Amino acid sequence: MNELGPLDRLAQKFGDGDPDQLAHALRSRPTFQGDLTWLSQLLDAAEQLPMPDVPASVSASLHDLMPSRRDLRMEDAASIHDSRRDTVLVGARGEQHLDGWTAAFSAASADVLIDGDPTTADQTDISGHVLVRGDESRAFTVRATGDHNIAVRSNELGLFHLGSLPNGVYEMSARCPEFEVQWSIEVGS
Amino acid sequence: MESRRPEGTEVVAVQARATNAQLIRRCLDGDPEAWSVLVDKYERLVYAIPLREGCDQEQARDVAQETFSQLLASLASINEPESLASWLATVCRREVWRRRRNGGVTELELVEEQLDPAPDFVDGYVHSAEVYDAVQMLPNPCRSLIFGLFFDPTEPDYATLAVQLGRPLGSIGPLRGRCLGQLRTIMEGRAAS
Repeated sequence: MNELGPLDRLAQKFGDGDPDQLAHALRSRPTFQGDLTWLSQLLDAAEQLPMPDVPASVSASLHDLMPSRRDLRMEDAASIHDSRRDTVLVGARGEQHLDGWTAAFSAASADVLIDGDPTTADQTDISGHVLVRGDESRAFTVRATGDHNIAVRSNELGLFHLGSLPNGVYEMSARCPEFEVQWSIEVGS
Repeated sequence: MESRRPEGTEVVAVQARATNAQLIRRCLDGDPEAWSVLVDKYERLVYAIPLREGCDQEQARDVAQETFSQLLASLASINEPESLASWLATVCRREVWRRRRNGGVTELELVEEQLDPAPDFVDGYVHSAEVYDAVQMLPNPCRSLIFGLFFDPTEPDYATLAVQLGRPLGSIGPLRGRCLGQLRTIMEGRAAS
């Protein structure tokens, strides 16, 4: 049974059952020795370096090492349109888009347009456009935090696609080196 | 469903799965979000090494701070971004040695041979870092499960992991098997490349 030590420690599986029978079954597998060797190496690597939690103060100091983080201008974006509420304007959309919706948000440095297209009863495909005030377009990192967390990089025109998100309330942000725009949105019809 | 992703865009992080090459490039563009993802990905590794070497928490904090400072200064010269875990492990270990040599880890009993780099020991950390890096590439719930089973020093039992993952206790064993299979595929793929 000595050679089963790593597996025993790994799976905590052989304590109360019938270890001899199980060991025989495992040995009969042609890949057994290779599997055991790999698992042993994995276990050795993990035991060499256990990973404790990093204190929050340490983590914060590491995140703050990039200077631009401190220089970033933070702006809250206000909702200026939501086709789910502003139904008068929905007439511009075709019949095939009856379930889709559009929302717009405005901040000092940029406006944000969000398009939602339900893909199932519980999921909505989200895409959007960050429109910088002035002539210069730029790329943004757009993040949605909620039931699902995702960050995407827009193209140079500010167009982005988050994909299908579970319906719910999300905190969203669009960040470029100079500023970050933040807003909340309810995804779903 | 046809992708609606506009041309020129890309997903940079679904949790922590963006590639290091993408993250480093964005850091160089001044994107602090990418830096945050890198820190989230590797702070445990960089904090664990000095603790393992006998540093206290304050010294471990200083070593981690110095290691990430060196990373920030060296981003443009990282030649193998997907081996960043190994790079960090090596820099971190050297920083511990440097502090020992300068008396920064004063309470440790300094043995002469410990003052010089010990390749086998470094290699051990590098191997651990590579395994940890492969774990980071797993999608959840596999990443959380494998981390809990192997790397979490509190050694959570199956019942605790089941609660953390929001899954029935009986599903943890089969899930573990599938996750180990995925991890092995990732590790063998990296070794072959």
